[in-house]
Amino acid sequence: MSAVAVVRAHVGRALDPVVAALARLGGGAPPGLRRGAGAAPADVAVVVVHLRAGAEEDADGVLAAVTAARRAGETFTPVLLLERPALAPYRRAGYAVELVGPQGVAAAREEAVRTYAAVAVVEVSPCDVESPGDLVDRLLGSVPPPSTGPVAAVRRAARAVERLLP
Amino acid sequence: MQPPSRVLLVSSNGSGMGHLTRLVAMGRRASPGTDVHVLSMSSAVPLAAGDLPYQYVPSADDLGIRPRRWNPVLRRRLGEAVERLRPSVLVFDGTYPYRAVAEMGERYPRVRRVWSRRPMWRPGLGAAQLRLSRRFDLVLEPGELAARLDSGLTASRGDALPVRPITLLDPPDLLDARAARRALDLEQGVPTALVTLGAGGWQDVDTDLGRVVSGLRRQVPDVQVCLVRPSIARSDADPGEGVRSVSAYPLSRYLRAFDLVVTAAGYNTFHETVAFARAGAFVGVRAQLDDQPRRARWAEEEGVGVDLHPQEPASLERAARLLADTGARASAEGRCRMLWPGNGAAEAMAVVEALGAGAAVGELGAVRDAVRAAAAEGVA
Repeated sequence: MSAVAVVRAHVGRALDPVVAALARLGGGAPPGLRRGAGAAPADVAVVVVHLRAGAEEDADGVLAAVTAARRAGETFTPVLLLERPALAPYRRAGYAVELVGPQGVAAAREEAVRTYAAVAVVEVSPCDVESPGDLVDRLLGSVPPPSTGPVAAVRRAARAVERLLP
Repeated sequence: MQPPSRVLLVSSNGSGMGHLTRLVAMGRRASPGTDVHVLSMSSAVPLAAGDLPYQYVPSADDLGIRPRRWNPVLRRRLGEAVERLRPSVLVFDGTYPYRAVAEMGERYPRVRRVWSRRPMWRPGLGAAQLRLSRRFDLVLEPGELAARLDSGLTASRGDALPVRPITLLDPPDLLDARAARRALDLEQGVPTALVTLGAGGWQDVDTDLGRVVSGLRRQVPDVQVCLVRPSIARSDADPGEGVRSVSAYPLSRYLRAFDLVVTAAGYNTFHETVAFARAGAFVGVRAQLDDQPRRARWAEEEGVGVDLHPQEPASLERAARLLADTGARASAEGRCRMLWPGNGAAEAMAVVEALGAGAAVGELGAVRDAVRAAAAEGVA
């Protein structure tokens, strides 16, 4: 292993507990996480958008609501959790997509929250897509106010360091 | 009663579906007592896994995140799958075993580990991942038709158990030409080419796809050029006269609909084209590790097709001649039949099952040979 790799590994080990603690305080998406086509990576909270079975069929409706909410304040990054394997339209729109696996819905939600340090899970049923305004409000309402002051400063610093790591 | 043997097939997310397709080819041929599960980083897994139960784990590329954030995620999810399924064998197909896969031996020593390691690497590349070979109980090498041109690092190692080339389907699984054209809604009785080159719109003659489509249409006026639907979707215009869209999975089931297959020389499509005796025009795309240019060169040297360079008019003319000339096509198809050694998927799966049942690595060559001999007897 090269000297650079050794240094990076040490820095990474020191950084991980900081990142984990910041995630527990809310937000802290993995740097670079896809946020939808055209959206630049940002250090904003992650919300798991859980599409209950059937909701994924109206991909245009779901995507319109999610995109509208994301653009309204740039306050969150959505991760779409699907119960049925209709990944293509959501991936094409540039979002991170998860699929409920054989371990079941509850475990998949828990795993998604853990993976992305998500601050909330918003469930979307097929009838929710019929009233997109309400869905947009629920998405925006799920996001806690961004942390400020020293926490925000530490998070910015941690992300800057993380960008240097592999 | 002995519990059923359980095999977990794990594929990375390559540039196509090759890794996953090879594993599914093996899984479909499992013995009745073997329980097969798939865990894949390919978003095509819901489609490709067929009847096999599967789990999708988005890759680091899919998510846009760095490996140091993604590796712990895979480690956790792979660990969860192993603890839930308790497989006797884990088979990984990919060019670079992820850390989570390489560490399986330390975490779950009872699970036997197999690396399905496709050969034909670009010369000089891949030394780092080759060192990980020792973390596996067995390195299984899917056969490579163009092996005599293989100058990659795996070629001289001798640490792998080779099987014949692996394809998803066997010739009897394919529809005949007439039925395949009917199923794809194509015209009967006209020269028909399948063009599956990746990037670009078919009307853009500055792309390889556009050059091939316009070249074939110019030189074979009554040609029916078939593009897979995503290629059509990238173009704003509807397909014009003589250009058709096809969509089916697996497309290889319909391969006899086509007189000529124009494709990148990736492992799966290349071997399927030869296995199903179709004349091919192969583009040696410069892939990360896969030595496609040599595979395409082999095809031309052996008379099974054309080493196609879309920017070179002469090579496009050769491809068009192959499409238009029935005799040339018959010759290429004959060479394919002569050179195809048979599908290695069943023998690969038998080897995996034997390993899971406790066989020593040294015994696995005999297992492979027995399956191969039984298949030969069946054909005879």
